Amino acid sequence: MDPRADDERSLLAAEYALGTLEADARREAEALLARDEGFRRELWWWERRFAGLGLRLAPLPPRPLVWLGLQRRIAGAAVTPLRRAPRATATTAWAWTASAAALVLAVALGVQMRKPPQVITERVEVPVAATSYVAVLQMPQSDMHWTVSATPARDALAIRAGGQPPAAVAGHDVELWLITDAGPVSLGLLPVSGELRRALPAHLPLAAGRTLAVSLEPQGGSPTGKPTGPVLTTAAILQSG
Amino acid sequence: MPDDVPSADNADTLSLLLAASGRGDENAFAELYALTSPKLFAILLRIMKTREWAEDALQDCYLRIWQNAERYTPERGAPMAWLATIARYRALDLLRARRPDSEPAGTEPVDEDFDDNDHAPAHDQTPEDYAAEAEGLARLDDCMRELPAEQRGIVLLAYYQGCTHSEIAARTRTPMGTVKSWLRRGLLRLRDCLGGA
Repeated sequence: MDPRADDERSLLAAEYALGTLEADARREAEALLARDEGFRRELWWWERRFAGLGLRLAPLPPRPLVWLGLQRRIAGAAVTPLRRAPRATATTAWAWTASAAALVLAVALGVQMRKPPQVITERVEVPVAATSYVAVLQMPQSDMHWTVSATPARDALAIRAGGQPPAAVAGHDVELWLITDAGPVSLGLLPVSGELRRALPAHLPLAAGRTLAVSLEPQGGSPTGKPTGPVLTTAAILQSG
Repeated sequence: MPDDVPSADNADTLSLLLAASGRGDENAFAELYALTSPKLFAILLRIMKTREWAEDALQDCYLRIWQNAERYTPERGAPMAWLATIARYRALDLLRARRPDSEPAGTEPVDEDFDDNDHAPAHDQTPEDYAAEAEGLARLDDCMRELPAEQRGIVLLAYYQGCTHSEIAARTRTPMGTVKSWLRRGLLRLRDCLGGA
């Protein structure tokens, strides 16, 4: 191909990716994109390059409400009228992880989640809609995180580990604590990978707004029943269902 | 296909999460969001300036990502690059729709110095977090730095402010023809430097 024409195509792709084209030229590029595989690849090449300019910006966590709104929009796209807190469905899983990911961000920001007071207008026993809680504990300086889900009515505690354990954790165990009015209560050791399910200790004052904390402990966990090592991270508990 | 975007553990993780999201795995999507939204949000906020707009745009982006995750292929670059591209196009669309009566930007100075603090990782960010892009970024930075200042300035103004030719001309008080020719020369030079397309 004529090298000049080649340059023109490449420039059109570059400027389309960059966004500098005025409407007419933009439509020209879009028409070309629709029918020309080579042009598409050229565009992709430029997109990848320019993406580097965006990715050099310092990351900035959005507010949790973004995720919550997104969750609503995605749920709204599916047709499920009169959803009544179904158990063990995708929707429930969704609600869990939704709050969870939002919390990752809240924690990363160091935001204290302030929950509005809960107004209970009606109290009905709905066995399928047991209250559940979720918290995501994100280790700073690391992508290690734990999603902790608890459903007290079923004594169920599930912990899912994600990311790579940081070097500081090597040779130690990490222990999960619920901060109660009477001080920290151990919820056991945290897995560094995979998912762990175990029974939730009875009569735990679990509630939205309470804090979970992770401490670094000797192997086998705290010998004293209280945290002995540094606190690695904390997170507020959210009600997820 | 030139394999010019390095893969790293991080990119592998994101690829897996994208693939799982494409199969409708909501947990994977939530994790993908948690890992990548701070980067996309930084891009959107930079271009859109207003937090609320950037947040709306971020939701739009992830709705698209959720719906189109299965369409990701490595040809589009590292997963993070693909996501960044989606975010930037969305920002451009919204800027275009909102112009000209609600121009959000003050004429913010363009990064005259390419070594400014944008480049500095956030405090809570480790170098490893950037591993997926590091190599490609270093090369891009080198090539950007080799551009004459006026060419670099226009590329950056276009990327970070989402400006079209005429807007760049207005903002830099430079004739349109000059803007176009600086940009074209800058882009061709960038392409040669990046070994491309």
